Amino acid sequence: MSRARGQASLLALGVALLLVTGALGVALTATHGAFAGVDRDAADARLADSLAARAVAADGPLSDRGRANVLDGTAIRDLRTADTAALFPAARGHAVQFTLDGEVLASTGDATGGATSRRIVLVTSEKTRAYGPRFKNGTRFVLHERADALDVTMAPPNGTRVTTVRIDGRIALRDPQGLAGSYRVAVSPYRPASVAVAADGPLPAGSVVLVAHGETTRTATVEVRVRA
Amino acid sequence: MKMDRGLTPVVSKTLGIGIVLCYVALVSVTLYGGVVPATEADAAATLGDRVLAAGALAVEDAIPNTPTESTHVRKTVSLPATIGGQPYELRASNRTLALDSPVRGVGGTASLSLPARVSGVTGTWRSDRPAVVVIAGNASACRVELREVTA
Repeated sequence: MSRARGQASLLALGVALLLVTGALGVALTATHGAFAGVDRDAADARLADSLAARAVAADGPLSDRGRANVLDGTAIRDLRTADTAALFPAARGHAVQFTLDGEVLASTGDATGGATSRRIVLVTSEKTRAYGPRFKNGTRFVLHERADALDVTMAPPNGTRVTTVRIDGRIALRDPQGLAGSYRVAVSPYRPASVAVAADGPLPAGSVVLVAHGETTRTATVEVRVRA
Repeated sequence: MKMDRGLTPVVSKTLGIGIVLCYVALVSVTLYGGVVPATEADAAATLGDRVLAAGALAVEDAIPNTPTESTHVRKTVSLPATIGGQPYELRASNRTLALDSPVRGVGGTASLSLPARVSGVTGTWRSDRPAVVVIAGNASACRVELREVTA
């Protein structure tokens, strides 16, 4: 009876030690798991972030007229054939892949499964549109779209002089002796410009041709993937 | 018989104390002999990677986005004093930042992603001094220097 009681206290001690060992095991597994769970390689992630920041920076190799997060569509097309390591020296010696909306732009190796950094950008492209309206004195012609610049080409019939071209009510071109030839004028990019022509005779269609140079943008996602 | 019965609790307690002491000794030897140093090395290596990334980011972030006539930037950088209990160095050369530490498994290099107008990156940060990054130059070229502030 007394021996059974002695064993009971020893048994309790054994169970207690077992529980402590179990708790220790759980703690060690959790610690190990925390380190094993560092699946994002810090160096790759850092390089991907840096390259993505460079790609969309205002002074980056792809930026359009020094604007941040605006990429030049032409520069992006050229990136396919350009030397990526020359444009992004930090990518030299690493497997880096640049994609735009899932389409591979440039790569310096197989970066599948590497750390990724994404940026939302605007991609610009040039757009020109020609108009050949019939102008009458006192009527305004409003462009169908906004534009940055306008090429005005005048070839009036013999005996007719184009004296003034007004854009948005302001005089843009004027010559009392008669205007002829091609001129480039800047227009407001914030609303469609209106053009009025003053001439001392009738102007058939095609006497004044307008070519509007505008810019269209689309939203896209740039993704940089790096695997060391 | 009576004296034997009197001894029983003493024997039982001594046995219990002995078992607990043996257990504690076993656990201590296991932990400090292998598990703790391995975890410390893991932590040091991970921290080293992070410090290198943070240092590279600090240098890249300090460079102004738009080139100006006269660029003068001075930014303090906050870095941990030790990795794995040892002081370390961050050295810049050839557009690369290198981490140098006496602890085994800690180190590496990070290539800096800088604008083309940056002509060079030089200097060293020792972890036991306050660190600053100094950028001086003009619109077409600038130099980046890692400096220590003498306290």
